[in-house]
Amino acid sequence: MGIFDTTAIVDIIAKSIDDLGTNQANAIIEGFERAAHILADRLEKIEKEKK
Amino acid sequence: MKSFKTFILERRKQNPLAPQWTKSASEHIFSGGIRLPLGTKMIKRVLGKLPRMTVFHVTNRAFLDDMIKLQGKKKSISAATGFDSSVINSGINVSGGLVFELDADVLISAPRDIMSRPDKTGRRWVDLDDLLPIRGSLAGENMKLHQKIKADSAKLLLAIMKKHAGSVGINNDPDSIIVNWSKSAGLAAGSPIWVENIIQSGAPHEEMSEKEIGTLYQTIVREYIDAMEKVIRINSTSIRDAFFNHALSVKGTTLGGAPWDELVVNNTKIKSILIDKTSTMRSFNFDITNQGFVDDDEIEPRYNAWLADLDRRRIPYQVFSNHRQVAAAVMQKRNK
Repeated sequence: MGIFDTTAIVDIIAKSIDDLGTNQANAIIEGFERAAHILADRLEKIEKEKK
Repeated sequence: MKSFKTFILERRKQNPLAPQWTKSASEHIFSGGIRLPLGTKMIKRVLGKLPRMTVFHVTNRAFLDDMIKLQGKKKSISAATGFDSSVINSGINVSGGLVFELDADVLISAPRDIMSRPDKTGRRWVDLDDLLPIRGSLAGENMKLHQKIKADSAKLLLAIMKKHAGSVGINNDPDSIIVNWSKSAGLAAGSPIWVENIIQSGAPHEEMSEKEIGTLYQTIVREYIDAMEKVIRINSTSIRDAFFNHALSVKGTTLGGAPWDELVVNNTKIKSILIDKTSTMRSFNFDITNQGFVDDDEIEPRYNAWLADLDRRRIPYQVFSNHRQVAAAVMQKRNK
């Protein structure tokens, strides 16, 4: 499973996530995705500045 | 204005080997909704033994050696069990003319094109939104499963955020989640998460270094792939059904109006090449090596020399006079 022990973390957070609704799940998925894009864009910008 | 000949020459000089849809893994993962990876080892680990069956791959003679080299490899390709005849000569991602009949392991199957896409590492991805409707309409039990997979995925993505940030406030606003994620990281120098600072340029925080951003990015990509394995494992019975049901029940059926079905396969073995003589011979009007058109009276000798080369290499093939005959032969083999 790589460096990330998802099983342990899921166990820890499961109680707090039980009450998540569909909208919240969608927001988490989209928020995660957009944060990742921000990081990717930042990396790309750094690479361009180097060149 | 470019002449038609110049246009054709320029098109043909483009790299024909890059599969359509090839993008980096990150663009695949973070591109609207949940995407599931189709890595062979992972699929076998989570879903068990893969179905092995006869499938067909449409391409052209430029890819003959690639198809030979691909045999027995983990790298996946998109295949089908039947085609509308027009696909045989027009091709799907590249022009057609040849249909490779293959024995192959099936990683996923669907009665229609599910737009599976390879990343630069060769791993294919499929959208959750494309995957589940293959079990029928996205309603009722299907909709419940769709929502469950999304909820399971959100839990794991939240777990990844918590791992990096400690705590994350949750509401229905993706922007707030991004900001909460970065705020919860403490915004201390060297913090692994500095997303807010990147969103709000000029914010009074030190920026993450390139190394920190790069490490974080690579880590969350790896963690996302691991999380999706977990999601597939949690829902393995339903996902195995979604992945393999078409492959296991295709015999005796029709395409149902679709131009082709889709099976992502690997570990291929070439059984035969079904050659559409008309379109394949037409492809000999251009000399790829010399980037020039060939005189009409040279076309057939070149085609015959190519067939002789297949004989010399002991590559089994069957020649059909046109694309309709090839499509009919494929459907016959599909229902054998």
